[in-house]
Amino acid sequence: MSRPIGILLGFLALLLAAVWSTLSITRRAAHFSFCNAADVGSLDPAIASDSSTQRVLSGVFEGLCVLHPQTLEPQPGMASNIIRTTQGGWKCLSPDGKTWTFEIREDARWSDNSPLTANDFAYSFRRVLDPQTAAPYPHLLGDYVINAEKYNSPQNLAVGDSVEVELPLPNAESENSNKRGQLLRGTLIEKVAGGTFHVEVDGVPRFFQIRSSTEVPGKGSDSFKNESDNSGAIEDCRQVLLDFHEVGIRAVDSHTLQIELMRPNPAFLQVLAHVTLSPVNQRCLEAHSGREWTHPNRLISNGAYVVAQRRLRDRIRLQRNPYYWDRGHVGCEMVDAITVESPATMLNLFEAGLVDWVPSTPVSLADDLRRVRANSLKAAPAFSTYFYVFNVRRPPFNDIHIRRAFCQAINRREVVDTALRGGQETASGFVPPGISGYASAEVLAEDPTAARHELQQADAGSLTALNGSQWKLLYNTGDTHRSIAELIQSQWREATGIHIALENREFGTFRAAISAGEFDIARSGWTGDISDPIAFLHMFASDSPFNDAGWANDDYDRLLGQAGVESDPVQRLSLLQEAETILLKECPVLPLYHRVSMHLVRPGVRGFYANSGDIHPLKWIHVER
Amino acid sequence: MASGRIELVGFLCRRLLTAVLTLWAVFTISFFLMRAVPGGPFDHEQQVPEEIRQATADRYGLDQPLGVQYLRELARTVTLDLGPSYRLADYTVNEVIVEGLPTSAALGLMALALALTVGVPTGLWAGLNRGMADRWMRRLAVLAIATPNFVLAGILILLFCFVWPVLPPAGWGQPSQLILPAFCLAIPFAAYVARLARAGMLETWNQEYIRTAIAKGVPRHVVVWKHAFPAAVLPVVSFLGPAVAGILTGSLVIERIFAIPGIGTSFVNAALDRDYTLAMGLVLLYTTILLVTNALVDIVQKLLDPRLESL
Repeated sequence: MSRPIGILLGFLALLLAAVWSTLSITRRAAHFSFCNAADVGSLDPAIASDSSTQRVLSGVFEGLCVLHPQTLEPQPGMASNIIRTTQGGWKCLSPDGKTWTFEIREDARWSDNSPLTANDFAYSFRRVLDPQTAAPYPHLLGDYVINAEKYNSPQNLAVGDSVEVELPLPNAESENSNKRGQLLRGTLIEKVAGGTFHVEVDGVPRFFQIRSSTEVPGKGSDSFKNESDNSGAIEDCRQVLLDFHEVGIRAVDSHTLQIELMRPNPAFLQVLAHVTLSPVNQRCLEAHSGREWTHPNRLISNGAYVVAQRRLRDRIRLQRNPYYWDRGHVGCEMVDAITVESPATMLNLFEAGLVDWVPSTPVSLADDLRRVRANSLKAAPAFSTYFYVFNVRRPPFNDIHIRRAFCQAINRREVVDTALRGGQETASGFVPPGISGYASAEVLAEDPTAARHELQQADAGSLTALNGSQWKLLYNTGDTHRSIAELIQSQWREATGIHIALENREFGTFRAAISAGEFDIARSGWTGDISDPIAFLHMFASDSPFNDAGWANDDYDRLLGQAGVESDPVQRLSLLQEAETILLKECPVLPLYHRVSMHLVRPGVRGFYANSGDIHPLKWIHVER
Repeated sequence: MASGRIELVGFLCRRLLTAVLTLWAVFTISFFLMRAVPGGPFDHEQQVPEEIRQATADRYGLDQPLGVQYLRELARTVTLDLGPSYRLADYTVNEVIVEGLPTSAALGLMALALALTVGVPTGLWAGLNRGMADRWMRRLAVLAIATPNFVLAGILILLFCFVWPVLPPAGWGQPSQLILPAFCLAIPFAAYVARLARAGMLETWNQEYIRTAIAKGVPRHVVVWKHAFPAAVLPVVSFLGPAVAGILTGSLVIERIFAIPGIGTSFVNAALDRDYTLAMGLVLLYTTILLVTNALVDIVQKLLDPRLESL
């Protein structure tokens, strides 16, 4: 009998040891911990896209410029000369408003104590623009910097352009290497079908064929070699891009970075503060393949904190960076970003005193929290709009009267007060309020009589289509999407007598249907990445990839184009406002409400401010215990 | 004894062969099912421009013909490299499993131990003592099975974190954070186990060899433990195969409520995000665990009841 018991005890001991080993008992509590709504997608700033990732990266990397958490006013970051002149301009800006010259601070260091230079920025900006990086926000540079967009879109290369041909990596290098192949610079003579480029390099015409990284080396070019014997062999290359020397980004010397814009843009510093444009360490990247450089013990960064630990779906632990230039002002020794997906769990952790900051609260509890946690609640309108989009490619919503009727038939106040109850603001326009100097155009007000009148004006064919078939409002699975859709459905039926069916889909299939244009009305939302109307209005330019409605308007495109080259900021905003007026008159979109960000922050936490950008750089946060 | 050992080796070889075939079939079916669902791994809320979609698809070979993709993935999977995760950009699928599985397994083992220690004795006892206690046990078991995890978790959090604040409401890292989730996970399993053990005992107790033993005057506790117990727990053991596989690979609901860095969340997210490689890797992992536990169950059953047909 003693042997089985011994085995059982031994097994139990093993089991306990196994369980024990997954816990890390010795972990010290961080000085400041907060709930991060989702796992950090990637520690590579170039591909960071969601707010959870940006929340952490804002503490780990620092760009040329940072925004003050309270005023959102640009402050010196890695560049030391971001200083206002007495006339309200910027010291680092040329008189014509097009050339920014940044002085990288002398004490700028990486977290391995190596100096950080202007070349690091040039390297990182080029990397954001490189199509192979697949950065989600290359337009942050592309929309403003000379030739940046062309560098990012090699399909726009024209004959006669200076180009750089990136040759394949030597065989010894792994496919996943972060190094670039050898570069040949020349002039594009001809683009041949099938991805072959005829380029003159040092006076010698040569042919290059792009080989996708997943193809077998040499295989792609075999068929061409036979056909083009007379013009020399076709060489493999990784890609052909515009010569980066043509792009308005230049490291003049190791401490001077010059950026040339296509046209003056006083808001460009805000763009530079975006986390995407943080510098990454070239040596660190090239020493590792794939994304291995983002591992906590390998990552070299330049922000207030360094990544000390990372565990998937658990937490990222940050530690004060001893080589950060402004280390004296970094508030905490250790910061924990804890991954908690459920808002209810976040609230539990906050109420139990285990976290200091919760970035989103359960919608249904907004009223209660406002009452009982008034001293912890920090709310601010976010630069974000929730809207419905009509598919104008096909009947019946290709008819402007039907769209206008649907827009006038709804009651936004009721949506905000009954379906949401989170203190959101009813949509005043498509562009959220809060941009200084910009008065948003007005949405069509609620007016059931006018809605019915619009319906009578609609084309007979569209009306037959509208009444003859079942049209659908498509939304993706989510707590509030359904309640909003149900309410809007009943409002439409009440005001116009038309019944629109609801269709709920899981996000992937939802997005696929919208991309394919297979919908009638769909829910949508947008958060501006910079505080400028163009962040929203660009979405419905006829060539925009985000234009889900399929709507195109020549006047609208023309106004956006004019605003793009307008150097007077006041005039520019009035052009944009004119464009927004067209958008809201034509109604490819039905704006519903502007989101409000609601944070729970423990009293005693300093340096945290609710702001319209929903930006909360970790550097400024400290805790008074 | 020697023939038994040869029998075991033969059994394991046969199982290994069917396991390989099963894994291949599962791989093939899930590969094509995943691809057949609309949407792709790079459909984000804010849609990406065409060039970027193209560059990403190119990097992962997603623009190649389906057959080519299938062969490439199969070749890679055979070498136990499950590839990079599409959505967790900094991670490979192997890393996701290595980080998440031990956590889920630890929690699952605790829950399983709890479920067995509570479930088996209660069930056996109820099977032996029919009457009031048995009826109450059955009612309680039905209640425990019918109560959804998240309701139970909510009640327990309210009780032990706020009314009587002795345990943390969520998180992972300290032993105290293990108690509530393990308990929530264990309760329905304990109820199942108790019902199975009770039914097993009831059936066994009416067998002739038990009656013979009692008639011969063998003491009751010897009859219970030596004669009845091995046969009575057989249903529990068969249930354990799939149960262990399920409990080891984590629970989405419990992991979400208690913010536990297990692998259960990845199962659901991978499918929703169309993270092809991660979803495939996890399906293969689950299949493997299921095959292994089922083989173990068959061996244990044979040990418990020699009358069973040969392996």
